[in-house]
Amino acid sequence: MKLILKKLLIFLITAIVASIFGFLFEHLIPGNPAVAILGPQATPHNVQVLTAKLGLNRPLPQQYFTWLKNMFTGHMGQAYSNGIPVKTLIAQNYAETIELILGSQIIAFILAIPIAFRAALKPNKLFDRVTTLMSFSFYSFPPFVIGPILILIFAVKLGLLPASGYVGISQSITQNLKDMVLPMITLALGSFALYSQILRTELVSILKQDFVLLAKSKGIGKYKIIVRHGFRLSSLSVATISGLQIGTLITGAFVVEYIFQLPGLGTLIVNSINNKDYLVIQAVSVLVVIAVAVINTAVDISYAYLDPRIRK
Amino acid sequence: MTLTVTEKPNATPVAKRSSSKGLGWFFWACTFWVLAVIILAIIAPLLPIDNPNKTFVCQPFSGPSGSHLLGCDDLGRDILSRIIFGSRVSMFVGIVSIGIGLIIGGFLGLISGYNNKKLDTVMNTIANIIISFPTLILLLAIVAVFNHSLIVITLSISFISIPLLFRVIRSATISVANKEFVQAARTMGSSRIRIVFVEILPNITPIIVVYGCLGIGSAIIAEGTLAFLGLSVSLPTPSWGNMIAEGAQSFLRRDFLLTLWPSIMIIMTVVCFNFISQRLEGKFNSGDGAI
Repeated sequence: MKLILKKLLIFLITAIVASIFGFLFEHLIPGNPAVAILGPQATPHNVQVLTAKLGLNRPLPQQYFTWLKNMFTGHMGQAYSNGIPVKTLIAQNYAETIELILGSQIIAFILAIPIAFRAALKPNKLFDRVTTLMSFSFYSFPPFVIGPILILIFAVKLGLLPASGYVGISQSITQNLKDMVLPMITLALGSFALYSQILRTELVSILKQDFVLLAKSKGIGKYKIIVRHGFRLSSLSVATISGLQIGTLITGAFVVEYIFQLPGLGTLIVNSINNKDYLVIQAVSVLVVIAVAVINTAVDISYAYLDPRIRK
Repeated sequence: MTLTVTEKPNATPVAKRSSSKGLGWFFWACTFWVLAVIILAIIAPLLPIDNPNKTFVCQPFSGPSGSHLLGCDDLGRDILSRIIFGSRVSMFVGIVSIGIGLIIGGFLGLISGYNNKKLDTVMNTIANIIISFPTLILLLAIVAVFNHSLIVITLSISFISIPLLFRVIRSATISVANKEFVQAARTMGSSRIRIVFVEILPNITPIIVVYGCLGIGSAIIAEGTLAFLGLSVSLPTPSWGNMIAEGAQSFLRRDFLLTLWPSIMIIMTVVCFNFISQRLEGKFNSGDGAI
């Protein structure tokens, strides 16, 4: 219980710090936001009127609370470059990012589980060494290197999959999956490397324990042992790692979206930086930081709940 | 892409097994590679290569030849020269940012690890909060507020590395601070400053080296990611990341070599830094006297 309270407290502090940084972000930018909205031809009078309208002449703490209220109610302002409300932009783009992350995780687990099982059954044999080396390399490869290589092989040379383009899942599921396979694999390889190594290490240590020997002496086959005993214990730690990895995953997804020109939050934020669309950058950053903090806290608490050793 | 100083897969059994037999040929090959890249980056202007930004020194998209070993890019610039000059950006950002991170993070870690508990709790909480922010989001926000010059990028990556390196050095300090020789020094009346810098610091140097190398690899990837997104040093200054991005755009037209060379450079350099770090960790862990 104490642990849960402590985690919640840390979450609260993180959220407050994130919101303060997010708020100050607008004020750190060189120049007056009113000028940025009105453009270079603005008259001093218009700037003054808009400054007062936006509340930029009020004391900072007061502005902060107004801003916080607006964030919660979804009044995040409009993008300077095209006048579309920031809320709409985020609503248009978040689905693709979530699909990309979920898909990559499914691929990562589908690859990691059988490979880790096979490697853990005969540790330090050829298969184990090859897959360990493979994981080590995948872990070192950033997505912006893997992405272009995959495009080269599967899109340019073999012509199997599209190199870019995106069709919404509601329009055509098959076309959507075809567009998303390469991006998902690009994002999945890093997670696959991490999960397969953790799962392998966990399984090797579990298989050395007494209850496995007991099961063996009862004549239970080794595959059954590994599925019944090994997987149940090790899946917990892998699930935790995947939850704690969410920050890396989201930002990895941003890069992957940029590589494959997918309409997601990553493409949105990179374009906004180039257009100096500060309100969009601010809203997306705060949203991501809070989402990561929520998921991390949830994982921490559920882990404590599931593993009584930690709860004490 | 992240500065994953603390989140790496466990040392492989392969590395652990051979740590007793020296560092292995691959370690030395990696060290040679890293040193070669650093030296080439430093002496780049003295080398007999074309100006990396000069266009049409050769036929665009012409493949490797005697005078242009790696061929030419879409604007007829010498790829080898751009790779060598591009390494200056990656190496500068990697080494300088982690250097600053180690100096500040290490200093804070030493103080925090060997001091009263209140200060330690406060500093550790601050570090944990900064770490809980996704790295790329922080980098993007900093780049958006300031600009994407080399100095801003180096400083922002070092800012992000500080809490990570702080945590590593703090926990190393705590584990050394409880050893007998530190207690002996304390009973002999050594000052706090002397204990931290004369007794503890030399004993955590291996950890500093291990995580320094790992950090440089991550910092190179961080810079590469920003450069790939078009948010690092501005064109036409070459950097490995923006070369990959430029090459990826010309895939469908002509030549995959444009993106292949900088990819190979970034992968080899980062894998080498990671491998050096991992092997040294194995070595220090197996040797006696180390932590």
